[in-house]
Amino acid sequence: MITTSSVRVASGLFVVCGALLARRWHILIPALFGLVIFFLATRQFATLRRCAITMTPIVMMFLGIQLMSRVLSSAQFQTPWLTILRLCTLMLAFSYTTVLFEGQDGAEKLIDLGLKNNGLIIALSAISTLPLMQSTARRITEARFAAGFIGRRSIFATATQLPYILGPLFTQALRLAIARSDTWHQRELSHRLQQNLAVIHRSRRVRSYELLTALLPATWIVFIIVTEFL
Amino acid sequence: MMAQSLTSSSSPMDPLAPSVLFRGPNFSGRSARLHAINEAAGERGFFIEPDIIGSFSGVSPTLNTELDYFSSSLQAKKRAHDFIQSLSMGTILSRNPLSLSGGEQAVAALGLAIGHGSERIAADCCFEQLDRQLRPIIVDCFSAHSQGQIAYADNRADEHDTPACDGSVVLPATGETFAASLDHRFISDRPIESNAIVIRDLTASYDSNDEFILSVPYLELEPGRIYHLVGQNGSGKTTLCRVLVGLLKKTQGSIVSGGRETNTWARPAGIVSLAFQNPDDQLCMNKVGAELVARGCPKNEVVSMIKALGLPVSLDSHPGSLPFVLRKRLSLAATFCLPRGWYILDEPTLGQDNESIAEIALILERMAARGAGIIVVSHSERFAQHLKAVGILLTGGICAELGDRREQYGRG
Repeated sequence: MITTSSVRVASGLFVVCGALLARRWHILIPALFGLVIFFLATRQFATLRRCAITMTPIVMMFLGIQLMSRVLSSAQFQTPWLTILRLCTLMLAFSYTTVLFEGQDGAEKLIDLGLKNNGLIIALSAISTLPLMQSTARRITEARFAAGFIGRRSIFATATQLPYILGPLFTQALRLAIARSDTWHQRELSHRLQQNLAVIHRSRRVRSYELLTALLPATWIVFIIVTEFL
Repeated sequence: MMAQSLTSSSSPMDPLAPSVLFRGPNFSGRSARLHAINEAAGERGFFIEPDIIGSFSGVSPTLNTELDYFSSSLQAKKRAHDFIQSLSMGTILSRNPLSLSGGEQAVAALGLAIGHGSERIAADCCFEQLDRQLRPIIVDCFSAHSQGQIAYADNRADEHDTPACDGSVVLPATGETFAASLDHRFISDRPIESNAIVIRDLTASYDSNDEFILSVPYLELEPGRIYHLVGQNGSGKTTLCRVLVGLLKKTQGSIVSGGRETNTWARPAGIVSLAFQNPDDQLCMNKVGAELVARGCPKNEVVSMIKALGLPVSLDSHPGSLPFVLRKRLSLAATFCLPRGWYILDEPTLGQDNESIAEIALILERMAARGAGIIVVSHSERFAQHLKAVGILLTGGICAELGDRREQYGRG
């Protein structure tokens, strides 16, 4: 049976492949179009908002690097705009997939896809990393608000805090990830998940609009291959 | 239950005792003992840190799902459900474990330990955030539903709402500690300018669909006084603090400071400096010294603030490398460094021993004498005895004023 989870993961993978293969600025359009169709069909605007929240600091980080490299002409790390767009698309697809997983039963979906043992642990670590960093970033931002470092609440004021947030963000996220790995190991996460999900397993048959979200990026990849490489 | 005192040289967990309490001051080795018990138990163990949040896997959207994933059997899962329901906290099952309040997280973590079928549970100072209704029964209730033994450390072990235990291990101070004692005499005498805060018809909630709504019809807070905010777990104490500091937007009502209405959401920390319940939510710099200086502490006062809060660590240390008890003290020091007229301290005594609690009370009285207004959220009875504070009760999100807390408890 084709399940919702497998289609979602497939559409995410198609977007990732497309992002890696495309060579022009239109890289983002089909991905965004496919995602918008999905959101309209499912009315998951809350998910869209969460994707945007996750994406914002990452996009701003790349844009910040780009702007810095323009200002400092001697800098050696100038990044082509296409690479930035490509990374943005990758992060969007990753964010899209992981945010959906976080809100629903991510582990169940991974087991649906046949992952087990160490593969399951690695995949779970990957999909829990972004929400972990997202919540850590939110906590650090709140701490800076509460400490009076950000005088007035505005998008611009918050954006200027980005350089100060990145250091503690990675340090704290790493510490939390290490603590979490100890907990997972002690609680035999992989074994318990596989054992228990066999009992509580509940997959849902895919719907037409979800198939569309997979078909759109798939078509996009074919289009890219035809126009760019043949 | 009959408490049976064991010496520190006894086995850390008597095989006959379902629950063992580790008593002792800070840095007496309680945490190390609990870690040793957990490590010896291996996969049969379950450790709950003082900040509790690390007890959750982070991959489940709700506590119920977490139990689905990690329960050893359907019976164990049912026992976990029964345990949580018996404490009248069934609503937390449908919530994300990471979004629960401190006391709720403690109950959730114990529920997970029951569901997991753990045989040795080590809980490090995590019952201090429980309210007076839950604390006395938590361990008994746990033992009734769990098949495992529990060892726990509790700084509020001398209070009358202390959870009952079958045995206790008394650990003396080691004498070799890298932390100093707190000393209120190092707090500066410089006056603090502060204005009265008047709250009228204030309502707030985390979500428009949220059943919980904080409601404060009228509350006047005068500078130079200490207010003790009390209420059951989940009654909205932290919510009120977050509204006052500007981390949560009020739905309606007004907050007036110095005769002018203040939009705390637009200007966070404009009138109030907040010490978070979990210090890890607050400390956001890479060095101890930077935590204090960045908040506006004059450089010549950094050392005295470090001494006042008993932080003998190098100013270049990373806050994350400190033990919980010192991270909590550092978060208090950082809060006092922000030059505001009001200070809100959410569970300032978490992880602190009796001596430190008394000294924190003196520090607060010294700050109040300088003119600062202080709001304390705490379940600690001992702290209330030391503190000359006016009580404010929150019940089901509704706020009401109590009398003098020290008179109610009787001093010391």
